[in-house]
Amino acid sequence: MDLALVEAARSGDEEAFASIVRGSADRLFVVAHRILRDVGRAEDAVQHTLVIAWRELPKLREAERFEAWIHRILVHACYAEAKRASKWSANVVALPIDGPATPDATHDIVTRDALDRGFRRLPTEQRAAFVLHHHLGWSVAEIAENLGVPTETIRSRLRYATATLRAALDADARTTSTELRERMA
Amino acid sequence: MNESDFDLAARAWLDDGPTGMSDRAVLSTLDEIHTARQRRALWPAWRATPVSIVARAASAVVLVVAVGLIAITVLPVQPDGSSAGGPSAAVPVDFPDLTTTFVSPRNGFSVRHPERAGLTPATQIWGLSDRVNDGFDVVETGLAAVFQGVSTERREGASVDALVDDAIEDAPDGCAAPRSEPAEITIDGQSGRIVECPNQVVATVIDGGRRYLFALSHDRADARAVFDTFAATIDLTPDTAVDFPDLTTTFVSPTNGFSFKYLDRGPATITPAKEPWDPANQPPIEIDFDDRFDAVETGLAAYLEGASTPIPDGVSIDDWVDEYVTPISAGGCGVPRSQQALITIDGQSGRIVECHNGIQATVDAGGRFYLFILSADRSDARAFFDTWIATIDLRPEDAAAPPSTPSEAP
Repeated sequence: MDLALVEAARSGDEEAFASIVRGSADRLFVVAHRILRDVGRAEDAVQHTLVIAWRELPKLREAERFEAWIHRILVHACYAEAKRASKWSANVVALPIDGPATPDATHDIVTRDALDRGFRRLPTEQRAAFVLHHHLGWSVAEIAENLGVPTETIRSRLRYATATLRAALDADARTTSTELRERMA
Repeated sequence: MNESDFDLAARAWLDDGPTGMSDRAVLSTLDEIHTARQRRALWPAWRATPVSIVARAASAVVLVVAVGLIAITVLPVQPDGSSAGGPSAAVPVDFPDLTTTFVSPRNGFSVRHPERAGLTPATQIWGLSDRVNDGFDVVETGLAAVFQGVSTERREGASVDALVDDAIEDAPDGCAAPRSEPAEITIDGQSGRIVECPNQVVATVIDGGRRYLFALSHDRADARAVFDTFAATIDLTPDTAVDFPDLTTTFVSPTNGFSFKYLDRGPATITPAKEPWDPANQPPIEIDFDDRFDAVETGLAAYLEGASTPIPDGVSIDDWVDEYVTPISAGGCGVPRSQQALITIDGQSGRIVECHNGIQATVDAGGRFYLFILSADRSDARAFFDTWIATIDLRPEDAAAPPSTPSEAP
């Protein structure tokens, strides 16, 4: 992130913040989408995040912490979005058709299907920890610091999330290959 | 599937999916930002475009001029009444000695006056009150001469010439000369300008980043000489000026169990909390964060907030604050509560810490923990904060009950 842009925006330069928006909206959207698994809600979360960031930016003391700060806002915006949704529609999102080429594309799709279904059962807090860890590559300590949550809490969330997803994968592994192929047909 | 395989599968799965926000959503976001007020956006805008404050100040001067003209019986204009400059040296001064010193409580100056003069000190920032004279220190001599003084921080871009020109352009004949043209006057060693109107002498001067305006509303032929007599005793002390408002309206929090005073500047001045604050169980920052704080937008580069919450049993207040409260201020002060300075709020001993752009004070009373925050871009932030804090009345018994929990069956 261009610190000069952050400094300018913090001083009320709306055009500088517009540049930040254009440069970071997609990155934030990807994180929000991976947490919420819904394009519309992810866009809403990002929009809320950026508006809050603009409003609260003068409170950010260290411009170099902008990335961590805005991700913290994003995660909480995702919490709020998830809270708004009374229930999740488990079969709304179509399975990806053209994933990365692998020796066994069917197995890859099945794995993704299992992960997707398992992920949708996770509380949003666990989803967020999982995405920040596995997608952004943040360490447990970084997640804890950036979200302002105790390290043990993050460790616990990751542990539960991983266990849930592994359980989903194990359940699918018990499904016969024939049944899977019939379902995908 | 071993751990490594799981990590790889998870990353691949997370990498898959849409990679960008729609243009429509981005544009919508930019539109919303354009209409959203930055937390302190009012302040730099206010400083960068001082039209409103200038207009307010100018209006105040116009009104003062008008009030002065109305209040004083109009005598024939002095022979040189059309003069817009030089002192009336030829007119003898028939005025008592200025033996007593008046020190302005707000405007950063002192002036001497006759012993029996009536004094009305300023009670508000110039231009903030509906009663324009609230910003002026008034010395009523009882001798057909009312001396008034006022000052304000000179905001960036504010032109004193323009201010005075605006003030005098509507005045009666004799005050039409632009400020850049009339005579100079020296007040306490600072070069200023002076204009003489019928029944009004107005001088302006800049010192220490403040603009001062002194006026003599009069009904005297020797008004300029009287004014000069007053002006010679003026001591400019811009460092003593008070630029935060007198707090005149009481706010009683519907949620947080306290009251405080503030200056009511319209419907947007105060925003009451809408729900209880529970820092141990609520995310530190989220969209509705402000809903838990009673907030005052002063419009003076200062944003005040206050909230309270029940103190859990058996906790160390310092440790609890460090764990749950400190994180609410993004990039916050970072000073452990036990190391913060002491402050007394409504008779209760608390802690206070001054940050880069704000001040936080915490105190506990009647089983509740209180947090008061000032976000400010002011050199006198601490004095501003102390003035506000001094008005706080802690009422823990009036706080809203915490969110209801399922009750046990009888």
